[in-house]
Amino acid sequence: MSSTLAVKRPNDTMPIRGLIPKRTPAARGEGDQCAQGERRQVFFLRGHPRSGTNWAGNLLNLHPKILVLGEFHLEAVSKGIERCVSEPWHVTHDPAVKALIEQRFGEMVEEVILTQAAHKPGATWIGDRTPREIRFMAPGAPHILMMRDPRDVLVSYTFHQMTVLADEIRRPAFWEHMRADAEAHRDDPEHFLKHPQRLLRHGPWVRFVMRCWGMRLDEDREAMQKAEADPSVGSVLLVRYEDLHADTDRTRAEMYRFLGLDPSEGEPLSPETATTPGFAREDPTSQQRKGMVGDWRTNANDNTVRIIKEELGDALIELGYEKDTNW
Amino acid sequence: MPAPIRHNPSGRTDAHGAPPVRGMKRLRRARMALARRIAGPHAHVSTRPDGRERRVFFLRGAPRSGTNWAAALLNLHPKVICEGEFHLENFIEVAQRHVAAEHHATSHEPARAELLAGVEDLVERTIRAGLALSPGAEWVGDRTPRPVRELIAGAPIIWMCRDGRDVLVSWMYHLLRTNAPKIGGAERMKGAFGDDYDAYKRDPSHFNVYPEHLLGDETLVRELSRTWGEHIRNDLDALDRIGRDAPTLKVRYEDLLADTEARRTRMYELLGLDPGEARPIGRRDRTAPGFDEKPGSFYRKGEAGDWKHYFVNDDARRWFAEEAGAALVELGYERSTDW
Repeated sequence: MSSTLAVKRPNDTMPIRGLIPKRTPAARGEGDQCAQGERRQVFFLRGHPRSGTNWAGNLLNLHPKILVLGEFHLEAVSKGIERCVSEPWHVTHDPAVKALIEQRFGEMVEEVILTQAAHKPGATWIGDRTPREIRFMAPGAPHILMMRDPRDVLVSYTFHQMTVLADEIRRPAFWEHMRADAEAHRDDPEHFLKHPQRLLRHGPWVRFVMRCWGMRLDEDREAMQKAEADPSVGSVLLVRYEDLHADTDRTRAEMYRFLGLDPSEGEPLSPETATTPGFAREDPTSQQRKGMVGDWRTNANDNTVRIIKEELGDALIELGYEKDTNW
Repeated sequence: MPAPIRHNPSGRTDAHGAPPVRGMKRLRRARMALARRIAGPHAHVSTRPDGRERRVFFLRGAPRSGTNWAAALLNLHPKVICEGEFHLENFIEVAQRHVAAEHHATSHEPARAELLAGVEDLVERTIRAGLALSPGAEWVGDRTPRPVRELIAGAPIIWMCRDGRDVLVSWMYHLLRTNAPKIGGAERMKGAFGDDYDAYKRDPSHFNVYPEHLLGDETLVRELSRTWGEHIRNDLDALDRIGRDAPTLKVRYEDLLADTEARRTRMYELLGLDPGEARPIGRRDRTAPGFDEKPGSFYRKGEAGDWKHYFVNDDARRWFAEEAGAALVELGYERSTDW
């Protein structure tokens, strides 16, 4: 595995799954108020694209005190701020100016997200669901991080890219090799059901997606370490897609409790709210295509497996998705 | 004496001559909307105890075009502070693009308005923090060598330009001196200059002896020339657009060298200031024209027409002319690309 993809294990005691130190609502600053007069606060729902952030968002929205909407993508502005203050010769690098900018930006992030509160007047937690890495933008705010077996992410992500013909798959290096299948998929939504091995047949694409996933994992791991060392920057709850699938009620209760809420107040799961695990039938062109765990085996061939092992073999073991590399 | 700067619209569809891009109108509207919003606080960033306003202006130009010198000249006036680079474009432009992206929640109200208001407030506070460095100033200048953009509507812009060939020479020296951290670092410099790199590091006057070696790497010469040419084309278009609503002043480096007093007077006047209040120019504060040559210094030479010593082979001329010859003509430094 490439050294740049090395999964950093912070220390032996850091849990790979479960809670990173919680932030108590009382530790947060003043926010807006909900209809019942309680203070409103913001949180973030994060994860690699196709890791179940939409499903988790729907589950969170079943609670009367939570409203989560997407996608704000304020990390782009945050990166701009970082560039602005980073160079020593910028006036904005001056410690006083820099501190002012960063503090004001944090407030601005909260204000922007809280503008959505009117959609659910009873909500005390207003969330931003953006499928990106964790980036602490509002000091002390909680983050729910969705994680899913990267092999299932690969399949789902490739389907999605093929369906919407997104920019990444249209990069010349990939498009040249994947265009024919993308067009066949457009003309016949069952193309990959009939020819499952064609979905991941372009090795460089598989490597690209898996490498990006590994880099994202490193960034999230770093953020989790940061939160563990200094809870004032924020807190992180890691939620596995597979756990959500296996026991949706127990896992969503964990999310509610992470926000200091009573799980019993959540509405029941239902197909109408797209909150039940999986989907009634496979729709190859839908945002909610299949929602299965372990589905990657249908589409992977020996070459796919080899590339994934090269890129993420150790990470899969460390994250508990495999016991070794003999799969 | 070069001809006056002229801008001859060539029918291009955007600042870079590119065909229409989806969403560009929306982006342009968002840019203007944010620029107008920020215009309020800009014009009255804060009020001094005596009730006088403080205002913001921009000092712009391609890198190595004399913006540092112009800032030093502006700072001779007691009512101006132009100390450095704010780089506000880093978040203003991102916010502008952000509210224009339809799939972002922030492209819809009320999040959109809140984000714009937040950025507006951020700009105001940042400038105010910068102003705290000089309590007596009425004008705060943002000197950032970046392309001209609609950042704050109505804010005056002083734009520096310089013969692109002199810019290229100055830029090459700058990259050698700094090891070009943003375009590949020392490794790239060593690759581009070969033995000349080590020779320069041992003796910064090396290229005075071997001037033909300074512009010997085609890739680097073309890259820097193209960057300069694109910068000029963008700025001329932007100034043409912005100049309808805001005071702008184009200042040639060569004119500033030839008659520093006359040109700095025009800069003060653009800001509505009395030139008589400004301190005299002098060598100590680097406000006098030119420098005693120091090949390894940020302030190396400051000459006009120095490029002739270095463009000694046809290849360098051709590379520059192909990449940026049109911009040179557009600025009036040459009549054609055949020079």
